[in-house]
Amino acid sequence: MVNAIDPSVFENLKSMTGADFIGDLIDTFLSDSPQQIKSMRSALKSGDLESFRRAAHSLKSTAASFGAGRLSDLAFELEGMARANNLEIGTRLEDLQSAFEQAAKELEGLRP
Amino acid sequence: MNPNPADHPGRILVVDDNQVNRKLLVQNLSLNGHLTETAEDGMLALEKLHAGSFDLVLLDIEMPQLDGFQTLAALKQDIGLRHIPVIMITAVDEMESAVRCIEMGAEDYLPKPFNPILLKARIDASLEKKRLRDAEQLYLKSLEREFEIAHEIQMDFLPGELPRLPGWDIAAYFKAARNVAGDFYDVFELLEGKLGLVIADVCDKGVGAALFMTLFRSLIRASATTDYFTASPVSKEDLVYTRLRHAITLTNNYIAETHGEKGMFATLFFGILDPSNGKIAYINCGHEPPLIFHRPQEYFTLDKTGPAVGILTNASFRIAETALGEGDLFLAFTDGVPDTENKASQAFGRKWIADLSPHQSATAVLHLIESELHKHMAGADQFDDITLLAVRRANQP
Repeated sequence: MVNAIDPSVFENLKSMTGADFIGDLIDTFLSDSPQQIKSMRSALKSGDLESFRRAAHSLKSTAASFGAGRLSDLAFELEGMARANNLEIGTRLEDLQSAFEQAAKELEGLRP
Repeated sequence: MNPNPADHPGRILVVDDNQVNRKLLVQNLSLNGHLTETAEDGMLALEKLHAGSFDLVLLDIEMPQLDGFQTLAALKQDIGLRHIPVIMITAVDEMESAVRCIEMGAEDYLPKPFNPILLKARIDASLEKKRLRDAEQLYLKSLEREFEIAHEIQMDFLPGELPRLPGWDIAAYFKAARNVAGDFYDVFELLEGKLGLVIADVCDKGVGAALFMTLFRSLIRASATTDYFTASPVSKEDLVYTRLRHAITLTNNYIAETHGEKGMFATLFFGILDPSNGKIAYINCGHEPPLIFHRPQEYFTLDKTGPAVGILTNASFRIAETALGEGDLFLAFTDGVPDTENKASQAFGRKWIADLSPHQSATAVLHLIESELHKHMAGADQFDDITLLAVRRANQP
């Protein structure tokens, strides 16, 4: 199975912040990302394209910083759909949720 | 922990709505020795920028409230903030936005996810540029202030007020090409009730000429007004001649002997006017000949009677005499007047002399020349100092 977290990107991140700080950054990611997914869900329900797009954009960026490739790609795709006024997203939000959980699990294992 | 801290730590404002990005940047910048503050959106960023002093802003584009474009626009329109460099934080798919921000005045951009080497290089480069720009501004300001002081001091070497004598009308005009000038004029009363009239042009321009101007002016005035002749048994006529010759010779020899290597000299006219009868004894040291008008368009010149002052030790200076009759006008000027050019490089020349009349006051004559000169220049830059001195003898009632 492919890694949810790209080790080289994660190492790059660690070198930027120092190994001691990476745990703190992982904590932030693990608490912020579910919030963003939650925002996307409620925005989807209320048809708020802008909030949906913004949350997807933010998640895309954070996920990319950690090397969570699949999560970032899905967020990127959802951001693009929202920008194109298309909220026929099928099961992508569930996919996003599971990609996040996979990434979260791996990140727990990568803590110093 | 960091082997390469920044050479010049800066105060950096990190503006991003994404908490992970903020933490990541703050941590990395702190490791590099920088001081940081954060803002979650553009509005807060502007508030912090107004409240504090920053060397650099890292600005995200996608933000609620005020986005990166709007924040950048507000910052660049603000005279107190526009000098702070801004690096845009962009996602890889936001290249067009990055270009737009650079066009709006952003210094650089940084793609996410961050590459630590690129991040450090761009931040260091921006801070270094800002530091040099700040240092340059500070240097220019202090230089400006120095020149202001020099200008104020030099203006003190020109007479504050021209002497007022019944039956005589004296006016002067002085406009330096730069902050400090090589031209000067002087009008001063001598012990015997006579009046010293000086106009001079020190070679070259700027600070060097200005320093020598103060020396020439002081030597002439000091040596001409010192009263070590009145005790000698000379006639009043001889006294004028002695003063003239002494002042010019002393100044000439002092400059030539003491500062000969600098090659500085001045063209200088020094006349001593007897207000009781209009007689002028003078030495013209290589200066643009002053004019005496008896009737409109009718004038004669007070030609050179010796070389410029300061070139040759013991140079010989001849004294000449002339007189201002009632209603006559004496006009002296520096070569800045005829040499002043318009934008087409045409010199003002001497045609304007034909329009002058002794029937006007000294001030009116200078106003006329000034306004003709202004018309001629038509907005062109002034390259030489411009000095004029006019003395008119009134008609008897």
